[in-house]
Amino acid sequence: MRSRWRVMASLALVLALLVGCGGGGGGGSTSQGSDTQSSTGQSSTSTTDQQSTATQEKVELTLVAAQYSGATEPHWVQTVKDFEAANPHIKVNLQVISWDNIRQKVDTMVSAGNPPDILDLNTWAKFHEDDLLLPLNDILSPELLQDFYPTLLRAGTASDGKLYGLPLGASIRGMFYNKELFAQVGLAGPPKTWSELEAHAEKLKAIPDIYPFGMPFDEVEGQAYFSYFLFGAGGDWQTADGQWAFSSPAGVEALNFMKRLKDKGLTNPEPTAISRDELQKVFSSGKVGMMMTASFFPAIIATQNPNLNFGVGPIPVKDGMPEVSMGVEDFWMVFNKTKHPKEAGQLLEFMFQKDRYAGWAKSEGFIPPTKQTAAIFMEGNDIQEFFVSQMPIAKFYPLHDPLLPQAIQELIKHGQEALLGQKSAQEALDQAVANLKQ
Amino acid sequence: MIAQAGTTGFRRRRRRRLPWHYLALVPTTALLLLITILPIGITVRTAFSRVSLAGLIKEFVGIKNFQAAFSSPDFIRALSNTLLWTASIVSLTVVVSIFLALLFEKRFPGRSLARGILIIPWATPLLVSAMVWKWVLNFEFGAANKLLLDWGIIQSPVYWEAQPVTSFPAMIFIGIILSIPFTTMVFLSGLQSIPTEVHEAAVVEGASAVQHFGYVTLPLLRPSFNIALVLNAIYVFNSFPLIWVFTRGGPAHKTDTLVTLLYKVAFDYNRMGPAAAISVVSVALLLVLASLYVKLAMSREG
Repeated sequence: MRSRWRVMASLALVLALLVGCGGGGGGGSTSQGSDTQSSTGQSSTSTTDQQSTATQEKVELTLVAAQYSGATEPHWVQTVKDFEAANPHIKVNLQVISWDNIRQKVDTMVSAGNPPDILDLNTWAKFHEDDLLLPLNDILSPELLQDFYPTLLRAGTASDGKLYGLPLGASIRGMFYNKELFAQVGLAGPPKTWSELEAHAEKLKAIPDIYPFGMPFDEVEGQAYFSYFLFGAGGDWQTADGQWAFSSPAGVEALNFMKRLKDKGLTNPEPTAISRDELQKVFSSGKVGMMMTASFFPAIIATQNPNLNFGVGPIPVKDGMPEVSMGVEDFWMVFNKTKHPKEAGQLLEFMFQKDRYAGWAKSEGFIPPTKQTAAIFMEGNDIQEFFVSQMPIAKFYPLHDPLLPQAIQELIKHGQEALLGQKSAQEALDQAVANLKQ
Repeated sequence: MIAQAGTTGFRRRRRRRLPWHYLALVPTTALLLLITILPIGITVRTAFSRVSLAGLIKEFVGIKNFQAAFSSPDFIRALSNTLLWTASIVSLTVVVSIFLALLFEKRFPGRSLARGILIIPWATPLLVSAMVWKWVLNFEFGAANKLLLDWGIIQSPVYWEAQPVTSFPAMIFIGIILSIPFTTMVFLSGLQSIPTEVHEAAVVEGASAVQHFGYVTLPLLRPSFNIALVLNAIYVFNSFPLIWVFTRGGPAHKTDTLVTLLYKVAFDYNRMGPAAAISVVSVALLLVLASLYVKLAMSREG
C-alpha cells in the first residue's frame, strides 16, 4: 500500500512538473506566451497616458533602445533628460533592453497591440509587412534626411519608395591583417583580389601555429563571409526586382572559393565551428594572418591586445571586378500606432544633434549615418577614416525584405553542408533559394 | 460516547467551513491558470494559426503549421536526436548514480567533504557549466585534448564541436556528468529511508552481496528510481543551454534537439506558427512517455 501511494504521489508530481515545463517552453517559444503579463502592464501605462493627456496636456512617448554596450543606457538617460528639459510638455518613457532579450520583448509588445512609439532594432521590414510603421518622410525635416548617406537610406526604404527605417549607424567590413606576420614572410600590404588573397595565405602558411586566413562560418554570422565573396564576385542576394538570387554563378563561385581555401588548409581548420567573436580573439592574440570583420574591431583589439600591430584593407574582389565594400546597419523606426507622431519626430531630430550623436557613435564604435556626424566621428582616426571612405561603395543585405532572416538561416545551413563537402555549392545554394520560395 | 460526539461535532463544523476552503484555493489556482494553463492555451492556438513575421496571430489554418514542421528533415533529425539524447543520458546517469549513492552511503573518512563536492556541479548554473566544458573541450587550448594526447588515446587533437560524430557523444557525456549529482542525491535519500532491520535480516539470512543488492536494496529503491527516471527525462528532454553553448545545434542543424530547433524556428527564422507546433508536439511527447512509464510502474506494483 505504501509504495502504491508513493507511485501515485510521484505521478502527481510528474504531471505537475510536466505542465510546468510545458508552460515554460511554450511561454519562451512563442511571442504570445508571455504576453498576458506585459499586456496588463502596458495597458496600465496607456491609461495613465490618457489621464495625463486629459488633465495636464502632457505628451508621453515610449522609446525602446537596444543596448550596444555599457555606454548605451547613460547616453539615453542623458539625452532624454535634456530633451525633456527643452520640451517640458513631453515625457519620454525610456527602456534600454539587451540584445539577448529585445527581439522577444518587442515581439511581445507588438503582438499585444502596444508597440513602443520609437524603437531601434536591426530589422524593420517585418513590422512594415504588417503595416505597423509610420513613413518617416512625413515627420522628419528634409535638412536632416539629406545629410544621411544615400546607401544607408536605401536600406531603410520600402518598395513604395518611403522611408520606414531611419539609419541608426553602420559597421563597414574590411580585411584586417597582422603586420608582423606579413613582414615575416615579406608581404607588404593587404590582398586586393582573390588571387592575391590565396597567394598571401599560401605564404603565411609557412609560419607554424597560425591560421593564414581566418574564416568563421557558424550559425551566428556565417552569411557575412559568404556575402564578402558574393559581392566580391559581382553578385548580390537579390535581383533588382527583389527575387532571391544568391544561387547565381557569382554565389556558387563565392562558396567554391571559400571551400577551396579551407580544403587547401589556408583557413582555420573548422570554419563551421567557430564564431566571428571567437576568431577575433585569436586574431587579437596574434595567431591569425588576416580576417575580414567589422569597423568596430579596432576598439575590441584595444581591450584584448593593445600592442597588436595590425592594418586594414578593403574586401578583396574577384580579379577584374570593381572594388566593393559591405555594411551592416541598424535602424530607428516609429510605429504608426503612436498618438504623437510630431513629437516622435522632434525627439528623433533632437537625438541626431551632431555632437551628441557623434559622441555616442564613438563610445559604441559604429559609424554614424549622417555625413556631418561621420566627419566628427572619424577626425584624427585613420582607420575609421578608411571605413567612412568605403561607405559610398558599401552593399547591404536586402534589409527591406521581411524574409531576410529566413534567407540567412537557409544560406548558413546549406552553406555549411557545402563547406563540409556533403553537397556541391550549386546544390546547396539551389536548395536554400528553393526553400525560400515555398 | 465522548469520542463519537466529538467526531460528529467536528464533521458538522467542517461541512459548514467548506466554501472557505475553496476560497483559500483561489490564489493558487489563479496563479496556476495564469502562468501555466493560459500560456499553453495560447501556444496551442498559435500552433493552429497563421502568424505574421512580426508575431501577430492571424487566421486559423488547421494543421498547416504541423505539416510544415513535420515535412522538414530537420524536424525528423531533431526528434531522433532528442530521443537518443534523453534515453542515453537518463539511463547512464541512473546506473552510475546508483553505484555512487551506494558508495556515498558507506562510512569513510572525508565522506561529508566528498558529498559536498558532489553538490557543487549541481549548484552551478547550467550555462556556466556548459561554458566551462566548452573550454575543456576546446580544440587548441582545451584540457581534454591535452590529457588524451598525453595518455596516447588520440594521435592528434580532436575538434570536438566540428562534427556530430564527436560533438554529440561529448555533449551526452557532459549531460551525464551534470545530471549525476541530483540523481545521486535522490538515491542517497532513498537508501537512507530503507530501515536497517531489512539489511540486518538479509545479512542474518546469509545473502551474498549481489543477492543483497538485487533482492533487498534495489526493490526498496524503486520509488527513488521512478523519481530519478521521470524527473531526469523531463530535465534532459528540455535541456537547452548545453547544446546551445556547445554547438548551437550545428553544423547544419545536425545536433539540434526539439528544444533548440524550436528556438531557431521561432527566433532565427521568425516562424512562430511552426515553432508553436513543435512545442505542442514536444509537450505531448513528454506527456505520453511519462504516463506510459507511470502506468508501467503501477502495473508492476499491482
